[in-house]
Amino acid sequence: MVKLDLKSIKSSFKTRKFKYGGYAAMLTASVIAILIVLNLLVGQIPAKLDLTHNRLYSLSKPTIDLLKNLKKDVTIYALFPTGNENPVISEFIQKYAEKSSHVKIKYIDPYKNPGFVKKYQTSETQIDEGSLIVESGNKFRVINRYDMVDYSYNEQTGESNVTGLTIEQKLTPAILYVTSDKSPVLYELKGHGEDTLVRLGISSEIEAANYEIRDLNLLTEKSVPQDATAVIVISPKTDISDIELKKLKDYINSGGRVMFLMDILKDELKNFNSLFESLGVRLEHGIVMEGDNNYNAGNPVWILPKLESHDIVNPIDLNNMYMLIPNAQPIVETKFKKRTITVEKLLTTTSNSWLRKDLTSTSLSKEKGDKSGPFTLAVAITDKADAFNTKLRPRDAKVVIVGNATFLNSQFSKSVPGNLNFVINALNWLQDKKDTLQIQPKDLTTFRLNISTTQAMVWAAITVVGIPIVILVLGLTVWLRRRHL
Amino acid sequence: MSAVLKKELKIYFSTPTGYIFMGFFLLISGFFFAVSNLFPASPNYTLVLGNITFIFLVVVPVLTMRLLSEEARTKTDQLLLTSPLKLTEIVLGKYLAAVTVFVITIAVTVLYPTILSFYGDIPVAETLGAYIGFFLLGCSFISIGLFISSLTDNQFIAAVVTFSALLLTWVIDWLESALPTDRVAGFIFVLILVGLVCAWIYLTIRNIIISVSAAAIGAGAFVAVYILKPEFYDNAIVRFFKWFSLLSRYQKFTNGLLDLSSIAYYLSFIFVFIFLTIRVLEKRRWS
Repeated sequence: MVKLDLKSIKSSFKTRKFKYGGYAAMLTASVIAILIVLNLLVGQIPAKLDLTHNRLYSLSKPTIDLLKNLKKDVTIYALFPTGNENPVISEFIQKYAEKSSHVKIKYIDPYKNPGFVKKYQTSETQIDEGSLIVESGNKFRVINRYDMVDYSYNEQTGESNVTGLTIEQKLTPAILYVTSDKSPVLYELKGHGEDTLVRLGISSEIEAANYEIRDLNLLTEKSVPQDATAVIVISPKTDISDIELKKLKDYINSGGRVMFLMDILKDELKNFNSLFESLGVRLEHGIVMEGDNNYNAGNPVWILPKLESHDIVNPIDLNNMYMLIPNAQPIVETKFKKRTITVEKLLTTTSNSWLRKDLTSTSLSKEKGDKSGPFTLAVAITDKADAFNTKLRPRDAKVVIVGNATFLNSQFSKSVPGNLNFVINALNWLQDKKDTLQIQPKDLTTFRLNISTTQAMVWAAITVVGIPIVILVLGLTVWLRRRHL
Repeated sequence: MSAVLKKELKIYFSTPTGYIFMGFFLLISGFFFAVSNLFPASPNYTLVLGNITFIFLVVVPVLTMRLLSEEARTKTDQLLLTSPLKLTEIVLGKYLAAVTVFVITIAVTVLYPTILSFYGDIPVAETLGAYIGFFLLGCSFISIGLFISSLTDNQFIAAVVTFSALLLTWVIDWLESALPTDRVAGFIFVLILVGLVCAWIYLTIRNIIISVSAAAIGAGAFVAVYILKPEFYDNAIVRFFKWFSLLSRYQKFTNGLLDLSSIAYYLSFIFVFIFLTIRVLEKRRWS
């Protein structure tokens, strides 16, 4: 019972409980308070040792350099439900904030703040829980959670496995993008049943290479816009009109940069081919089949092309990557071409390959009437600037043509890193860019142990049954002996 | 201290306690080792250490229930308290005895990664880091068990309460995403904490004036924070539990990070519970 008269209050200062208890309480409270403060202080020291064999939590040099020179404030919004943060991603973005005082990290619960996410959402993109949004000023970029890891696809089992961490490859270019004033614009030609980078599932990779992707409709536009760094044409199903052809030709003639990815169609696309012929090449109708088993992926139409020597394909070769191209059509150089034009081969097949003209045939071996290889599957064309008439062509025109677009389908581009690398290298070559931000993905593959089932069984028996039984028997004997003493 | 340590170790290995602890621990960890490493032929042993923490729920109460409650039951605590040994020595000796049994047990499990290394490369540094975390986590749980054992003279109650206390650390982690995150909830939560601290002060010293003034000062300070910097209370509840959570800090170790602040936290956590245990025994001297 608490008595509140003056006397009892006075006396409560004199009890044994007050004397000892007060001392004890003070001691306990101050010890805990000191320790909490100490821990908060230690928590400010970013001393974390990365013990992972693949340096999972360590930033690479290009990122560190970028962060050191950062002048603008960047906010990284991590969309995680409160209490459900991904520890690996949290650790990783924390590193960015530790390296630069300009980087701020904010955790946003996407379910509690649906309006926040809406601000960054467009009709084509979906922002899932676990995604990151990088923002500076009025520029932002969304990094989807699925783009932060690499998957490998196993054709036999149909399983996909996480093989690498690619947060850094997405986050660093995103910071570069949102803090830079201008970024190259890539126009996608529309209106002829083309495929889109979004539909192919590689728009985030192209954006990570810092391109801004925009649509181009040459029927409504007067010409290819001035700000175009390059134009990309992905697998048109119908031909371009004469007007569009003229606008494209004008663009190329004035030093434009275009990448054509052409899938095999039943009919020839006349206007496209006339454009190609003006560049000294032509698409030959038919499917290339590769007979050399070292250069196909188990099926002659799945070609692992030979990488020729060129800035576009050299990095792929250097990093021991390969490319996989399904259902390709060959590109042939025309006999006559302008003297200013040089055609360089990028991807070729072996002499053991052949061209299947009859698309209805299902045979997988060479037949009569099939033309023999080798064939060229991709070329890089340069049309030199006109030294005398700089008005007509102030700079070199550059064109990349690939006799296939299917190799960029997510089925291939996600599991064969060389395919995507090819496109990004080609885009970089088109915009004369040499110093690309090359950050290697972190390898997450763990190698399997070389242990046989029998060995595993034996060790399992020892560890699961053997050791515990020995200890229990030991315990039982000690206990029984003591009982019978 | 070494006398207490020796005596306690002797008890562990002359009664079934030590064997039950080791046997059960090794049975479960062996099972997880076989399932996640041996049969899938995976060298990633840190996964096992990440997954078997729940064993602590069952084995730590077994290890610590007897430590101090038994002394109280058999009234031998009177002898201990009046012996020339310092309280710190008694408590530390008992704590280290339990930790020694734990260390012997995890020393046996070092056999597992060793087996794996016969058949390929294993990530040595990551495994070592995960072991450090596992050891610190286990020691923290044991310190909770020691403290609870000092509060009662009934082994069984000590075991059940320890189990519940450890379970609570798991449950809070699971519930984190369901806790309210808004400012007002955070503010109310902080006020409740102040209230609890003041209630504890009152219960120890029975002095209404000091308790009430502590409450007024505490509440006043937090109201001031609410006016000046209300964002302090955003997510306050979740941040509070996450910061104190033993398990979320352990995750860093299994993810391959050796984090100074987590190590410091575990060591302080252990220190606080040993200190509290000493306070409880100390209190018996004067009350």
